[in-house]
Amino acid sequence: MKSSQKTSDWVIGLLITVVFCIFFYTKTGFLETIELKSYDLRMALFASARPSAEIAIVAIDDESVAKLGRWPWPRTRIAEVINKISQAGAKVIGLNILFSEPEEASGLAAIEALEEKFSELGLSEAKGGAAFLIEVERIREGMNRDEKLARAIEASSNVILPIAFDFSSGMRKAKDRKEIPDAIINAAIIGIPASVATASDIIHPIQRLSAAAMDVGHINRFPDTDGVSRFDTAVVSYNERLYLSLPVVVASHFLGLTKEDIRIGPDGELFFKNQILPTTINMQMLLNYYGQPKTFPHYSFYDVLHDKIASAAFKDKIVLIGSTGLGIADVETTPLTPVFPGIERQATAISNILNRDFISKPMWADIFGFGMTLLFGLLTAFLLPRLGAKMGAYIGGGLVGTWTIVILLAYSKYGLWLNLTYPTLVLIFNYIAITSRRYLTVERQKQAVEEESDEANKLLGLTFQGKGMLDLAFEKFKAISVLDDEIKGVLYNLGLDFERKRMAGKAISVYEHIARADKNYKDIAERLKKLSAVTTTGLWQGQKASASGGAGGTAIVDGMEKPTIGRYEIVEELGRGAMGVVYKGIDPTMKREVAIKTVHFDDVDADAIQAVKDRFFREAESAGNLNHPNIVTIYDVGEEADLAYIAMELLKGKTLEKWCKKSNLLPSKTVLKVIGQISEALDYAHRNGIVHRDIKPANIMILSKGEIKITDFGIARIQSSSHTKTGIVMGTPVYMSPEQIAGKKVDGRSDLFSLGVILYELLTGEKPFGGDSVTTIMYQIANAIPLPLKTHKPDVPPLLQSLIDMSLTKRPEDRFQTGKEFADAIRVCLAKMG
Amino acid sequence: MEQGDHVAVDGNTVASVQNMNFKFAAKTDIGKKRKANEDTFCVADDIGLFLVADGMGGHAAGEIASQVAVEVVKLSLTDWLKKGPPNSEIFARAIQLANKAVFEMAVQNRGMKGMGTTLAGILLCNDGFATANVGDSRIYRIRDNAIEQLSKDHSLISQQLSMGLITKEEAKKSAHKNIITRAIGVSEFVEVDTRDEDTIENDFVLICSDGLTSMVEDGDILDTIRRGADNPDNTCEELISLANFNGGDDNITAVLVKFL
Repeated sequence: MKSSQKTSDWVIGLLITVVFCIFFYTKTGFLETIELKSYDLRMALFASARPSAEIAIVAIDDESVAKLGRWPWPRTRIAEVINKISQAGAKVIGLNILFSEPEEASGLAAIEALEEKFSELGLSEAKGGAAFLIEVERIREGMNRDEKLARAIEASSNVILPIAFDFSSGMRKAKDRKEIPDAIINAAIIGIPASVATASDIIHPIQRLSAAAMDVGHINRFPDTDGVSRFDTAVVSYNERLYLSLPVVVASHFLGLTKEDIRIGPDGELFFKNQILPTTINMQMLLNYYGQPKTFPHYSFYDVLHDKIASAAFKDKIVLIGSTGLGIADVETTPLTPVFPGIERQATAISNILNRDFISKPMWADIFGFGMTLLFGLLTAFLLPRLGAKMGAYIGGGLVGTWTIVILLAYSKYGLWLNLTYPTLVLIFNYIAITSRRYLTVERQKQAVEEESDEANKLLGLTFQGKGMLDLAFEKFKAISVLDDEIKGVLYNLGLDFERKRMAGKAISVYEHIARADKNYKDIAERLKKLSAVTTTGLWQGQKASASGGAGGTAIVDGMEKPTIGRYEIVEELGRGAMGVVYKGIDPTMKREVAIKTVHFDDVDADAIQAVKDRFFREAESAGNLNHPNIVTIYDVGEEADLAYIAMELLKGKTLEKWCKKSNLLPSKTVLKVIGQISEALDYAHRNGIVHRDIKPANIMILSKGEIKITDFGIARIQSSSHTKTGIVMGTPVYMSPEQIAGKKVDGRSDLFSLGVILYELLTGEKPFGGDSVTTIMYQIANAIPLPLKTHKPDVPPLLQSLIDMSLTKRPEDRFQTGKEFADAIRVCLAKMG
Repeated sequence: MEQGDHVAVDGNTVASVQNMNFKFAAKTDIGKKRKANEDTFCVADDIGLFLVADGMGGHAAGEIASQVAVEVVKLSLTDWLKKGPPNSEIFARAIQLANKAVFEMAVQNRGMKGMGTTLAGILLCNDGFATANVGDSRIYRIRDNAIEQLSKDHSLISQQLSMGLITKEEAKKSAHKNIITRAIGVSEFVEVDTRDEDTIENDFVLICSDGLTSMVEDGDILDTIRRGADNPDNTCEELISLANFNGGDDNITAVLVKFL
């Protein structure tokens, strides 16, 4: 239904569009999850980049834990490894272990207590007391492992330490209570970004370690609602200062940048000197993962500690130290893998920066995605109700397909994340909503009619009876299942009507129908007796009154003198068309059989009748002047009363319709010969100024001896000229040319287009411009390029395609200009086919 | 429906259905060029049904088609509305039944082959009215100083227009003016377009055959109705005179309802 109950289709489409736009704006709900997953899929499809070779990972892995004992280890062991990596010539060392508390040191306290007691007892002045104290000092030094780690960090001078933030709400006034080491405060950068995650608390390495580090960076992660880490949050704010993430800090030092080189631009862009790191409005950087874990070179902590790794592995590189071991690593989920150590996510972020393997989702991409959602939504809301379900599916599918390709290209070529889900889903939802609604409404109406309820049957029966169509009425009444008194009364009246029309047999049937339910209804028993007497005595014999209304044309009644039209004796009726009847007749003077096509003028306005008649005879006569073996011969044109007629050659054969079925196709060569002959005949007619206007398989006959005949020349024109009032319901426009559809003036080239359509159909058994409604077919003829022949029938010789292309092109100027050109082209094809 | 049934409405009739008060009138005229009037209308104020049908098909079949269609819709709605409330769905079902009736008659009777009819009308419902149409007879609503076509023409011309194949100017001159793409009675099932509309005081609804709309511009129809104000009967008369004055090429029918 184009516009139907309660609300119009487009209103529903509009509502769906609005809902999608709200979802888009709020970024909530299952749609967002689908979009995230589709993004993950894109990453999986195009994950081809290689990670930077400048990064190595020293992993506190299961092997190291197995060999070195339970984690946490004494910090001296970390110090030792830092020393070794530093000596190997690493350029930057990133430590992903947060030492926020001093190491547990009960031994140290005991030593200090011992030392104090010793001094208290005045033993320091005793002999050997000084030496004892020096020894104690030495032991204490050895036990202060934090100090050892700090020295190692200081010594290597290129270690970055992690910090972490707490984003739990309720801004504690932590900053007031907490003393934050200067080194941390100095690590912050200047700038006011538009919008950034703001922390309420900080967790940092102990004072001594912080002071020793070259720099610090945060290691917080911000997974999406589905738990997947897709970002590195480059900047967070704490206590009105901005802190960078560990990967950003490590990369900046590796690139030799200072704090002044890192700026936040006026529009919230993150600058590395003068290069922009693409971030979202929340200063987050999309991570372009390289694949499964261990894409970066991994070295076991144990192996490094025991000098099993050549120093070349670390020379001039970024070395990240962190845990990957079971139960001690911080694991995350990435778009590509469910378990991924945090240390590798840091490495991925650094590698993205160094290689510039960025994925970006700038502000405009969001606005663009929103725009496309709105566009697709509105387009479908307003376009779909105007198109059929099939056409809608083609166009919708095309749009979804195109948009998907654009999305994939944008991702793979430019690392752009454009929104796939919202625009495509709004289109699909609209399509489903609008088509299913249309389908349901039509189905419901159909059902209501097809249900053949007693009620409807009674109604229709009464209507038919009222119009004197008693047979039809009886048929309806018979279908009624329950014969109550009311229906019996109705039937009884019908029986009386039949009697009045002296149709005894029918009346008997009606009364018998009532009798089956109620033998004693009124006087039917008596009536039945009387009527059967009538039929046996033959009192009403010879009456063949028909229940139908006055039919037009010359009725042929048995036992009467043979009727005539003009000088022709009518033998029988051959068929009926919209215009009139076709009879088989005999020309008494020549004793030959003719076909007589009659046309009624009683539909034509009185004052126009002469003009219409004149035109009819002009058309018919000029068609009659055609003298060609492949055009049906017109013998005579004439008029009688309000009837005009054309007498023509009587043909015995089959129309081309028979050969258009897929199961009954002619061989390609035969098809070409047939079409060739028709084009020659059309050429002849066109040269004589006659355009057929209605070339279709039903108007072309193959006679029993194989002769081809075109029938009904000029009839189309005669028909349209004689109908001037609300008249004709359009038949199928399958064979019409684009200019006919558009109601423009047509010439012979229009016939050749129609012939092209027939050629296509004869070759493939399919119509080039098909569809389930007049609108669709018209649209196809005006706009669509037909499918290549080989899609329907792979063995069709390819050179025939050019014939089709030429004859079915939209502009008449581009087609074969004359029937002869068409015929010549066919001859060439036939010659090439051998 | 017998001829007598619908000419019985002489002058203005005031009626009330579903708490809606309205005044209405209806006229049909053969026009100046036709030998028969194939238009039929129906004003069933007891159930709030107003219809116009424009029949087609030779040998009086057009008249039969339009009469049967109107009659079946009226009969079935009279029956059904005893059991349920009026709405666009029941309206569409009644029209489907009418389609079936005309189609079966045309199939069974040689002389009626190819007959059919347009159908356009409104059915008053609780909160307004439902429109339904098949073919190129039209339904207009006149509110304040605006005229709005509520029905969609199922004609080749309007198809060509909506597809952008021809311009409005070309449409006026087109030779295909009389070709309709949907009609009651030409196939087993017909798509009926329905709409639900609201109404406010002093709204007019005009249902008419193309004998009026092909002869009189929308603007002139609006002016005539505005001028006619409280007398729908006069207005119908004037509309028909106007169509006849402009040529009267076809049968002219106008049903005008004024909501009070």
